[in-house]
Amino acid sequence: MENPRHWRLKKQRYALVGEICPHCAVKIFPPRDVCPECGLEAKTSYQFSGKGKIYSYTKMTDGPAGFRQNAPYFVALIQLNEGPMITAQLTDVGDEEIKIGSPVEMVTRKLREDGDQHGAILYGYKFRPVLQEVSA
Amino acid sequence: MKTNRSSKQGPAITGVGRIRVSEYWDRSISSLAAEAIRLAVSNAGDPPIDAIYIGNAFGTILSRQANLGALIAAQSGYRHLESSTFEAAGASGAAAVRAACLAVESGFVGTAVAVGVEKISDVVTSEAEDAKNLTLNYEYETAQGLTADGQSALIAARYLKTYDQDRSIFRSLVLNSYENAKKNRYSRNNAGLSPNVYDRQSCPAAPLGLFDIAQLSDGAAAVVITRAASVENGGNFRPVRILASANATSQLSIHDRHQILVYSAAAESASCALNQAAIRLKNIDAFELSDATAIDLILSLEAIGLCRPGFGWKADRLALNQGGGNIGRGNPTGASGIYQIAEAIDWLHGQPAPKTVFVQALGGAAATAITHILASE
Amino acid sequence: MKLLKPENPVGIIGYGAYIPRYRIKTTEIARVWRGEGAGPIREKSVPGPDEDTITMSIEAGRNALARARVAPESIRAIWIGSESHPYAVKPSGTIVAEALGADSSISAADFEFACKAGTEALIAGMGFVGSGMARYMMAIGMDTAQGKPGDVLEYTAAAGGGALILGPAAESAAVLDGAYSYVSDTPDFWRRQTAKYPEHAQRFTGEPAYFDHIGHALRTYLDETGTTAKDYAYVIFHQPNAKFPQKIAKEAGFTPDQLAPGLLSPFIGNTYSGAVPLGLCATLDIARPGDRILAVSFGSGAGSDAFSLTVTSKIDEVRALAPTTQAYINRRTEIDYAVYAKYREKIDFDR
Repeated sequence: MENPRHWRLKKQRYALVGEICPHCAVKIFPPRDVCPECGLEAKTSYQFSGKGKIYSYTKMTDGPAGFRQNAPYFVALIQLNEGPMITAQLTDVGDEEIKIGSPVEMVTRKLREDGDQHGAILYGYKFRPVLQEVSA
Repeated sequence: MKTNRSSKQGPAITGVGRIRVSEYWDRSISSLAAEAIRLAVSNAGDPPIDAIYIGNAFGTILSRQANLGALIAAQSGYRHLESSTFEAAGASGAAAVRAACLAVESGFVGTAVAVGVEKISDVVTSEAEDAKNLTLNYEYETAQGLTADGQSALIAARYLKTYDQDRSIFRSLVLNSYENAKKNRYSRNNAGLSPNVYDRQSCPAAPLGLFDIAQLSDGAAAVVITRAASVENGGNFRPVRILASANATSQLSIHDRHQILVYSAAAESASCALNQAAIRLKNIDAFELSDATAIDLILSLEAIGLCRPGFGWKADRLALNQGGGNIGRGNPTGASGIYQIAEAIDWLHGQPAPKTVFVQALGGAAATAITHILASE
Repeated sequence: MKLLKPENPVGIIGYGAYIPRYRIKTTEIARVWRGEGAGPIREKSVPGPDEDTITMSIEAGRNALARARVAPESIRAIWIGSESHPYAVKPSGTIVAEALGADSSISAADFEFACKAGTEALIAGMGFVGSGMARYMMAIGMDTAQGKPGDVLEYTAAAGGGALILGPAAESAAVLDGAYSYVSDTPDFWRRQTAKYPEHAQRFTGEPAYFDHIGHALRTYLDETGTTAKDYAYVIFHQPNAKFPQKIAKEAGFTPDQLAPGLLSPFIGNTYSGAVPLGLCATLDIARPGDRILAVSFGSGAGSDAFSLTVTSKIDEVRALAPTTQAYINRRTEIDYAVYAKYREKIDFDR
């Protein structure tokens, strides 16, 4: 069981909290405290909107340990509206066509169990087809 | 990068040893490595050995064994010898070769063995496949249920979309790898692959099919490396010079890269090696490139500059992966970098013999790229 | 006076619904277990394999925050009523609070009272805000109800719920007029500590349980407030099926039109603790300023909460700020019993 590790990641995983570089204003996800663009310290936290587009995707017909019972499932590269790209599962994929460029939105879902059914439940971001366009 | 290395100081390979890539249910990781080491040393004419550098990717998890240096040196019959492990995923073997080059060229070590070993078959297949995913970023890729094959599939899907292609572009490349492997007596597969079977394959990570992904395998291969100046001619083995050795990295996670379709570590490592060897790409005679999946090979060809972007799948006139590569020969991950070197030497020793071979190993989705340029003289 | 009424007036400043995407037709369940058609509930909602009361509460909570237009750090309590908290021991509330970006200076608690846990959190929240201890709090009713395979409850045990943010009445989209709670020890439905599926006392769940408790709460609330069915634009009853709420509504003099907007069980099944909060969300989606809404929940074990609201003009400002309940109802992907069994972990892996 890896409780400390997952606990320290909770903010970013549950809610897509990343960072913004105070020097060059680049938005950063995953947070890493150093700006990947200008190399300077970047520790200011930043709440991402959770909106983005599918940059690439694949359908996993078999999953690794912890994910096997959920197969088949989609994993995608998501280009967030704010700029960064992240790797995430697609969820709630129904009849709509999944394709590169489709708009998606972040939801918080169960990722897997830590160890087995006795371990903690790990939650984190996934993306789904946009449910309903809502005025901001 | 400027270098002041003279050819005499430079490293040379004086012996090669390898076992057939396969599944060795009845043997241990140290037994496989020791056999390759002893074969290589014997091939080199039994010189005294000062160090063994081990390339291995998954031994800590699949064989539950750390400190392979002490284990393997002793099993190979050496006491008190310097020996430690180098890990760079699929480029682990190449990292061990580079360590040997640095060691002998610096003068700290007279003769070194670089051995790559992978023992997949100590566990059930699903656990071995899970180990392969260790090369991903655990917190941001593995945590999402991505696998190493899935990561390649994400790159491949984007490639097909960008260049408006479909998955048939992988076909001839894969069939060719299996065809080449038929002639490689250290290959896991010698029967080739019938187009019918290829066309009926399943797609575990679309758009990549089962045969577009190299099969995890057991293997061990070793080379003996010493300074070119101290090579005594006249033995059974015609020495091969290592003109260049270059390691470059890129972001581990593909989502952190500005251009997912550009294997920048492969490009950087290649240009650095070409500079070291003071040779132009067009003067290289043959290539051994990494292909954990078909898209790796395509993007390597593009990154190195052998094909224009979008045309890496059309490299049919190139002298490429004559041993079948990982796809044809089987992929003994941490050892594959040394199988590549061994296959390059087969090439240099063959007929008609090319003069220079460019060998590049990739770790992860080209997060690490290690290039060696070998020359017959 | 039996009425529960806070010192300072309290209202709902934001609301948010959640219903999972998957549906199974009751005829499909009947095909497996009976070989013939089922009752008036057409289909029920089924959570995806990566959903539970926590993830569903997070989404409903985000919707409520979007409508409330308040910073998550200003919420002082997140109380979640459910009979399907994912952990036997470990609060759902802390995970939901963290995901919503709430401050750590907060009360997070899980409520359990069978199907009325959600309204119980709401009434407790009225006291919390109405006393001045907190400016804003979030009450959630959410469930991923499980029915034993082949049991009559399997045809209706569904998933969904709603989140309600309470705050000062002056800021609210609907003012809470007051509330009343009625409980007694009545063992009509229960689930023991380590049991996967609940048990029920069959016909005993009707008259002595549902109708007696809802009837008491309803009559008392109307008496205490001096109101009758005609004073309300809409009414929401707990809806374990389609028949029970229709029967009590008719007996109490409510028309089918008053009941319709908040009666979701025919379309998505019984969302347990989520049912009344979700019915309320659906009703607020269509209510006009000045409308009065009456809601009466029921929880086995047993008890009933009655409360009413008066919709304010703010409703028109907040309604469009998050997806409607109908958007969730319309988003449906039908699954068969095999996929349902997989998603609901009814297949034993002996793990």
